[in-house]
Amino acid sequence: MNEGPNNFEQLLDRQAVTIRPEVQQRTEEGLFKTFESLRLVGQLFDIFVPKMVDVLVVAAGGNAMAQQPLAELPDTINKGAGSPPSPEGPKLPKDGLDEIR
Amino acid sequence: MKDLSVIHSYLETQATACFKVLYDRYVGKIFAKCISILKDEVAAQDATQEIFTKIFLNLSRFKEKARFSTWVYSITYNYCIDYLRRKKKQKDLFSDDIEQVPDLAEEEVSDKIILEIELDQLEQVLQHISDSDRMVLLMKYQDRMSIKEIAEIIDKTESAVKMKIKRAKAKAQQTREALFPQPMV
Repeated sequence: MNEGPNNFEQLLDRQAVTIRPEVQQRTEEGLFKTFESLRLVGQLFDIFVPKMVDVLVVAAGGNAMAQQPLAELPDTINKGAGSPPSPEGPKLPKDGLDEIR
Repeated sequence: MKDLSVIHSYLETQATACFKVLYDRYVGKIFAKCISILKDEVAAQDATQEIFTKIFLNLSRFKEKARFSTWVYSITYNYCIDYLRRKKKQKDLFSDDIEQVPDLAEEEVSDKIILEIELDQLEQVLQHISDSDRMVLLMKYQDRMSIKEIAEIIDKTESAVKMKIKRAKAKAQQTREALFPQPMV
């Protein structure tokens, strides 16, 4: 069986190359401008939505600081069970060992 | 570089250059399809831009079940069908003869006859048949879509699609005979 392009596919190939350069350029410019706008809207959304959430939380009487990202919390909190041990070893409770004994 | 590799690169890097590769590969074909279906250069230009925007926004949802070209062309047909529906204020472009009782005496035009129509004649024939006939013939023979894929796009049952294709082939053959009376060489 012949698997080459049939007459319909050949017609499409022939029509596709007849697109005028100025039409292609105009379409391309319009398109990539749209993409840039969409990217910009996406970035603005990424920046402003978390801030808006903070504002709404504060307005509702909550504490926006309670939603601090993990990166801003003390190092020990960010360490999971799989994290390497500290070179100084585990820290003792502040009140000393007597209480534990 | 195959379409899928380009898509994966784009999804990983979000680099416009990767999308540009897909754009360059398909812009001519999408534009040609839009011109062929909409028969209006300005509308085809707008359509091409809109279709690429849809591709850009939905690329991460491409499931890789079908070929990328099939996915791209299904977006193209959906856009063109919606456009024509709005323009013609016709809810269902494909309702014209699908629901009619099939003519059992009607002999089916073979694929071979359709696929042997010479390019210039084929271009003319496609311009002289209805939008719905043209679209189903393009989906079947130009894009090699399955009956199921066509049924999903035009929102009809598979048996209705088969009937529609049969009638579109008959229309194409009649039109060819009317436009070019000499027998095929």
